[in-house]
Amino acid sequence: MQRGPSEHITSLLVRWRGGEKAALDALMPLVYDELRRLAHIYLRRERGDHTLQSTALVHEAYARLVGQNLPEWQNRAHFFAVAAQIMRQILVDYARSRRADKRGGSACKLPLEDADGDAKVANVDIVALDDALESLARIDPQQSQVVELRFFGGLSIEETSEVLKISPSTVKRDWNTARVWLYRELDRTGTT
Amino acid sequence: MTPERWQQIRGVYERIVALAPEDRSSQLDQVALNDAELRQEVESLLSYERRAQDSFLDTPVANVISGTMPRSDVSVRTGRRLGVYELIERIGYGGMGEVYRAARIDGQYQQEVAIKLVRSGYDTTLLLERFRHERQILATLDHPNIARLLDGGTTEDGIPYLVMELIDGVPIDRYCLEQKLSIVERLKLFRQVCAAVHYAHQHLVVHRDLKPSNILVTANGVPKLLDFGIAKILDPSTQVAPTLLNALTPEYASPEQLRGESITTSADVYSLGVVLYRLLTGHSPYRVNTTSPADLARAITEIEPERPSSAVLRKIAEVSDPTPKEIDVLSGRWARELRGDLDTIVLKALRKEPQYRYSSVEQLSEDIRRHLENLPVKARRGSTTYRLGKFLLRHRIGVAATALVVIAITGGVVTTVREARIADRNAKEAEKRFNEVRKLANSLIFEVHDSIKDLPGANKSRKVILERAVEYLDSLAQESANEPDLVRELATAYERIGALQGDPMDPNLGEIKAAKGNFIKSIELREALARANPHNSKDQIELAVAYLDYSDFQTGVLGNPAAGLDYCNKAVALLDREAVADPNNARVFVQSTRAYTSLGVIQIGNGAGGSTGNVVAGVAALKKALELDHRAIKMSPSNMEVAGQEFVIYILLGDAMLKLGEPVAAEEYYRHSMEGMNALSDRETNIRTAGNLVVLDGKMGDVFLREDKISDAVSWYRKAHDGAGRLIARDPADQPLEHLVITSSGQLGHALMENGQMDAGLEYMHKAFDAAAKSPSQTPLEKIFQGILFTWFGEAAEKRGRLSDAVQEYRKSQAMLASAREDGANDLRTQIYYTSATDRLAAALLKLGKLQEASTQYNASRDLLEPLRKSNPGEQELLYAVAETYAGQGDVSMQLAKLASKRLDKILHLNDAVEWFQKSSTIWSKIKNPSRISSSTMEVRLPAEVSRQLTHCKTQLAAFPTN
Repeated sequence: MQRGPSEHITSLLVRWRGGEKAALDALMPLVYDELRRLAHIYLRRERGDHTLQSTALVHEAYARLVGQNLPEWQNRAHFFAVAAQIMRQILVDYARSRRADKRGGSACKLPLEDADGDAKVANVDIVALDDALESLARIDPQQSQVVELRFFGGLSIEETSEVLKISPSTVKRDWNTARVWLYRELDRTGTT
Repeated sequence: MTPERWQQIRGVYERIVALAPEDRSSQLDQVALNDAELRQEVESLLSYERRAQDSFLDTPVANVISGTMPRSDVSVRTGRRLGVYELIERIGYGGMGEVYRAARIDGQYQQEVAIKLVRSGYDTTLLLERFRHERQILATLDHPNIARLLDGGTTEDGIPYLVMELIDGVPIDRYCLEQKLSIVERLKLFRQVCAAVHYAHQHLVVHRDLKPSNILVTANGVPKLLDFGIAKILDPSTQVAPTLLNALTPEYASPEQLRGESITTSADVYSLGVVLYRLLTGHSPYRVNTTSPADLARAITEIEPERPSSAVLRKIAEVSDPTPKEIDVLSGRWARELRGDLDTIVLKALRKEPQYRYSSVEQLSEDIRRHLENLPVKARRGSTTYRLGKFLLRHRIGVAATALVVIAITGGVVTTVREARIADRNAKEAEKRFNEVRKLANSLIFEVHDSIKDLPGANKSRKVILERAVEYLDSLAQESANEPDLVRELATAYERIGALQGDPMDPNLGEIKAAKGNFIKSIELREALARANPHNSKDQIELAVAYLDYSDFQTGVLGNPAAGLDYCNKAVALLDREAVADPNNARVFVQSTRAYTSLGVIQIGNGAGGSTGNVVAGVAALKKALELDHRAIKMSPSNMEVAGQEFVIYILLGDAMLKLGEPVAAEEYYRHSMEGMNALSDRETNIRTAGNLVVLDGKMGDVFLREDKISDAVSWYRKAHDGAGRLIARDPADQPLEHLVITSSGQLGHALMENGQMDAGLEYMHKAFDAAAKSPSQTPLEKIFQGILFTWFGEAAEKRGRLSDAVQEYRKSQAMLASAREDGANDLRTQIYYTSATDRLAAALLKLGKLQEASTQYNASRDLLEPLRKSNPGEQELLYAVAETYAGQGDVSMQLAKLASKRLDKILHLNDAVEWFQKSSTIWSKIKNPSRISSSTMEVRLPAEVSRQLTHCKTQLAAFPTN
């Protein structure tokens, strides 16, 4: 059976979970490079009329890098923990550059709607969210991390709990409070 | 808000929010009885609760983006038709494909087949390419023990598929157990597998994923090899680079696969060794808990497997109750049969270093045959091969090539045309791997790194990437000592990494130490090259350039101009020689210009660099640089950088004049430079020239500040500040420009303050400070700038009569400058900044009546300055500092005299004061064109003031009759 990058990434994830720090170092550029490359292609292509059209960017990156045959779901969680950080970085970077393009104009929202036009779900100003998350991290790093993993990484409560080594009920509580805090923060800066 | 406070608030909030809405208010009343802020915060959060819980952030970005993509796990294709086949059931799936049992439905044959196809949702171009590739490989393999490829095609939606022989069998390890095969039977079965793999190798196919589940044995006892899917034909034109993205199945993967190294036929030898181990002992060669792949990976790369015979004996001891199937294997007789040849054969196949394994599957199989026929096995003789292999390894890059050369030399193998071809391919492969790593390192440094460089928060990734690149380079460097072109390339790469890690203008990686190491590696390589190729002018020049880069780094980043000067002198010596040897080489003159310019800069102590304190020598070097530049311009008149250099040198000469106390001459050089640059920027819009013009506006500000024409200084600084702002708007990511904006903002603020526009001045200075303090790198130079700003803040506070605030600022300045000095910036200029801050602090303390501490501070300042004066005679900047320190000590003595109750004490202190002021006056007399603001931009008292104080002391002293 043909095997691709996924196995390599998987073995790195396994080694990382096994406590080998060097594996993360090896992992980061791989994941980063792939996401970066794909993001580049998609963003470049979509630049003209849409913002970040909802095609396969993340999906494809995940699929290419991890496939769907990870041996254990914990590995998936750890991969997503890395990917979450990177996704955040890429999206924020993208949103910032859009904002810079329209310097002087209004803040740029990144409509992450899917093809059905269901824009409501994630119609968030990514840059403002990023800033708010950073402010949150200053008073409560764990809550900020929970949001990063859940929102940017798409991790479930259980997966988040596994990654952060805290109980699922703590994750749930952090997640609820953090969202309220962030919503308020975004509201105060006029970006909701 | 502090984290602790937030924890308190969230605790209360979470308790309250869990209550029914009608109960909340009263509960909150209780909890936050005496804490209005707490109550307000919690209420505020509560008011957002409903809106936030609604759907805010509920759908992860990833799902939103990929929401419309088909999910592969729901892609069940059972019942669908592909060509003449209908999919009956899914019998397997893996990383990229699914396998279905399918039947032919056109009635031609009654045949069931296996169909392998790409999963939906994964069909990227690359994947298709690999898939088609696999189809081609399989088509070339026709062997009774290899699952046959029957057909191939593409589905209506463009997904390629393979139709293969459907093998009805069980994995080989299970087969052996179930059939209770003897050792001899197992070995014979295994040899059939070897034959199939050897056949594939002859067809340039490496399986790479041999494991029992890929080796099925049919009911007739025929082994069939499946899944040549990850095999890559050893042909450069079609091989998909597997460098980073290697496939593997941990338990059967070879150490080199786990390490991501190059994979050759030797990897299959290893995997077959693992299979054989399992067939002979019933378990894995590695005694680890196989549910932990991390341990397994470590074992495979690190632990020597136990001898099969010992493994069986150990197992007998451990297992008290063997299953009926195990019972044969777990016997002393079985273990005895393994001991000796079979132990040796299996372990040889499992060697960690590919070159010590059997050099081909055929050799492995052959040794098993010899064992079966009671002939001596080759594995037990191996020491010649071993030594030879080792020797060759030292001299050759690719292990595969070594192994094959070893076979050829040691004989025992009939080299067929085909095998020669494999050997050839493998040698090429090894070479190719080497070049891949080389390319990879280069691409990491030059492409990947640059593409992410400007991303916010990319520093961590950048660091990883650069470190990785260095690792690759280091390994290449070890293997390539005799290839000058490669060494040159490596040196360039190290230089580049050093420059990235140590660029003072870059969003710094904080990798100063690593940068230093890489610069030195580059220099060592270049020195070796220059020594080995004394007549290669390029190698000499490149070495000089490496020296100059490192000199810049020492001076500009580490703040160590003495070391910078050493390397600069080395470069100068080399280039002077080359200029004689090769007088028509424009590059020599371009680099010589640079070298002499640096020489001047370091000695004058201009700009970022600090000083070694010989301005006059510096001026001479600059004049030489100017002369060389004129030659270079003649040789390459269209080179804008060479043309521009002339005007840069004028700026530096202006700086030197300012240091020598000649503001008028300085102004002349600056204006000269300005005219030239303006003409230049008419010819070409170049952001550097535009930047230099802005720098010049600032320099003009310096001139007028020194001449105490403050309002003129303000206009020039403002011009510089606005110009820098305009430029950075054009290119917000430009780090040097950002530096310029920050510096000019600070200077404008300072001048405004001196001009009495206190509020505006403070605003600009604070802006500059905030920007500088935010920089993540905090290089010594950035610290020095902040230290200066603190001194200015102190001066501002003093001007507002807030003495104790001023004391605070001066202390901060001292601490910041001390920290810069600790970080290695211990040049003359930094020390002068430090003593100036100290003097300011002492003066303020004196005004506050803290006589003792003031005296201590002045003494400390003097202790630092006097030795410096000895080693830097005539240094104007230093003279200002010394004059001020002496005068300050005079102030202290005056104050002591005032406070002394005894007449004699008064006289003694007054005498001291006279002496100090006298000394200060003497120093002042050596200063040309004394200025109220020293060239280190600190306010000092002018000589007239010192004279006045001197006279005053003398008058007081005269009031006491002597004796």
